[in-house]
Amino acid sequence: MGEQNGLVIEARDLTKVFRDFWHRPRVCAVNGIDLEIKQGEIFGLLGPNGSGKSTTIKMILGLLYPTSGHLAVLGKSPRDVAVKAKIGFMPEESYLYKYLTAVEILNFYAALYGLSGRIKQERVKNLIIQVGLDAARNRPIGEFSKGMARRVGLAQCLLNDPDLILLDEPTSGLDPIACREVKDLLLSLARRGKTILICSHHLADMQDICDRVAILLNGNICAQGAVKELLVNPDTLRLSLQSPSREQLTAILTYIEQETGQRPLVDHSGRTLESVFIETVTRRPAAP
Amino acid sequence: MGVFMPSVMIIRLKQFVALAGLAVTDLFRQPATFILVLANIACTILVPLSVSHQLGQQSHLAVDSSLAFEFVFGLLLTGYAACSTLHDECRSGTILIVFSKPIGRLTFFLAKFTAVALLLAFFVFCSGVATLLAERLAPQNFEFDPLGLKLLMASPFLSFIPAGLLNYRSHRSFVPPALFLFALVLSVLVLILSSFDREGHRVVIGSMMDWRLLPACLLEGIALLLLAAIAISLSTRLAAPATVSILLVLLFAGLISDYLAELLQGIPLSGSVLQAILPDIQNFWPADKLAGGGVISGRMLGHAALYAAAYSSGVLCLGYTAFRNKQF
Repeated sequence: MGEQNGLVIEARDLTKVFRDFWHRPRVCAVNGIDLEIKQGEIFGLLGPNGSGKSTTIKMILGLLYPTSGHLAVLGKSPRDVAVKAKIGFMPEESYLYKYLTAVEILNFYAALYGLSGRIKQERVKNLIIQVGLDAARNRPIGEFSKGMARRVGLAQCLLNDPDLILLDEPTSGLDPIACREVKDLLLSLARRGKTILICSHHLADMQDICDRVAILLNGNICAQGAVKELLVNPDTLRLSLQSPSREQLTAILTYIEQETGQRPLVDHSGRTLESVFIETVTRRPAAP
Repeated sequence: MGVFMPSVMIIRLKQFVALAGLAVTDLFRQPATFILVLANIACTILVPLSVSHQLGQQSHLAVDSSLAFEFVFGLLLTGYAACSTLHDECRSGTILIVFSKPIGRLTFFLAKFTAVALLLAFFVFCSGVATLLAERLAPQNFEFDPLGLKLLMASPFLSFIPAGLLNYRSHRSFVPPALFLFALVLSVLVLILSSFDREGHRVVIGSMMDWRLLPACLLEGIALLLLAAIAISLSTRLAAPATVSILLVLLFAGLISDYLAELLQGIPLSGSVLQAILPDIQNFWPADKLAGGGVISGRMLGHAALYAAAYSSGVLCLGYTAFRNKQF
């Protein structure tokens, strides 16, 4: 934890320039960004491909070194190995050893955290159940679908009960139900005081769970703030009514038109496709 | 100054064991490992049976070719294994998850070297067994060893059929059990043949094998370990073709380092600098010593091991320096 200011991640004027063989600047992936992420917050990094999201996450993990600027993770340098004991990371691709089973790979990563004995066994067992892979626990990961491999990726990320969780496209490849489960899991982790940083293109998912977001473009932060503040449009107002009668509605519309000079837009409040899908799939009995 | 707590040391040891264990498991399941180990055994045992070796001094030729095969296949295996375990891990991205855990780069680097060293230890064992068999099975006065050949022909079936069945039942890789069973079957074959003469009569156990070959193979194994240190250091930056090419150049340059130093005699210090940089492979070539009826003594092995340890430590330090600041 950043003892001085309560910040879990603090970046000031963070810049990363990739250089060629002759050390000439080739591309500026991150260009002087400022970030402050507090404990218990779910923070989203949005942006198109090549905007610098993954580079930022790699710098936070100490896998890439900043060209200039200041970066502190849990109050320390990201290159400090000890800091990583409190971090969980799920990369965009499932970079897993394909010949190992789900249990074997989690046991391996648990050993890298120094876990052993009963603690290791219980944590691996619980996580396998939590990510819904109990039935496939002894199958090699090479035989897994993309979504199942993502679940293993999520499980390894939570092995050490981390304070800071970094997720690169966490819902990519997951079906809507698994996607909802992951989002619920992340929300429950945030309620337990975990700090979560997510990179994603799935804007609806980010809108569902993030407290604050930053939008990156060409290595620069174009917009940053609380999701609710960014989404609100102060020039329009939505009025919701619970099934008024036709006469009542006509009277209300006439009144509004007389007072404001504008004809209000009337439609039924819609459901999201996600809610329809989940309701439909969960209502159907499972195939024998 | 940080206090180095015993618990921290235990955690680092666990991490090291986990990393080295997974790396060696991965190396043993690679088809290329299977092919190289098997090719070495096949060439070592079968080439002496060919016509070209039946011109006299069959046993001597068998030993020379066996030791040469150990060097060549060992070098290929070393280069391939080092790049497979380190360079390919960086390229495939699996290293991203490993380094998101509290793993020091030195722990990771040394664990990878240990894995390659363990694979080489297995290779040298197989090579030693094959060399003993090659010397025993080499035809003498155009006469083959019928008992030995029959047992040799049965050995692949005795090892690969059970390994295949295990693969069928467990869905796990065929390679590791096949390799270990083959090494076991060949070791048993050595023990059996060491108790029978070429006519099939019982003799004193061990009297029918030239056990001097084992320390000779071990000496070459130490040289391969030295080359493994170079290979793992190169693989921090280079892929397998470049690494193996450089190893081949170093091997041959090391074999003629005296001659190269003589060529540079006119330039001050250049000869001694060249000899210090190049691995002194001549120290590890045992065939000439064996040809004169000599043995590879413990003292000679000790000197070679000390030289290899010092040279490897220096090379590993350079390799770690290249790896320490590598970005992923």
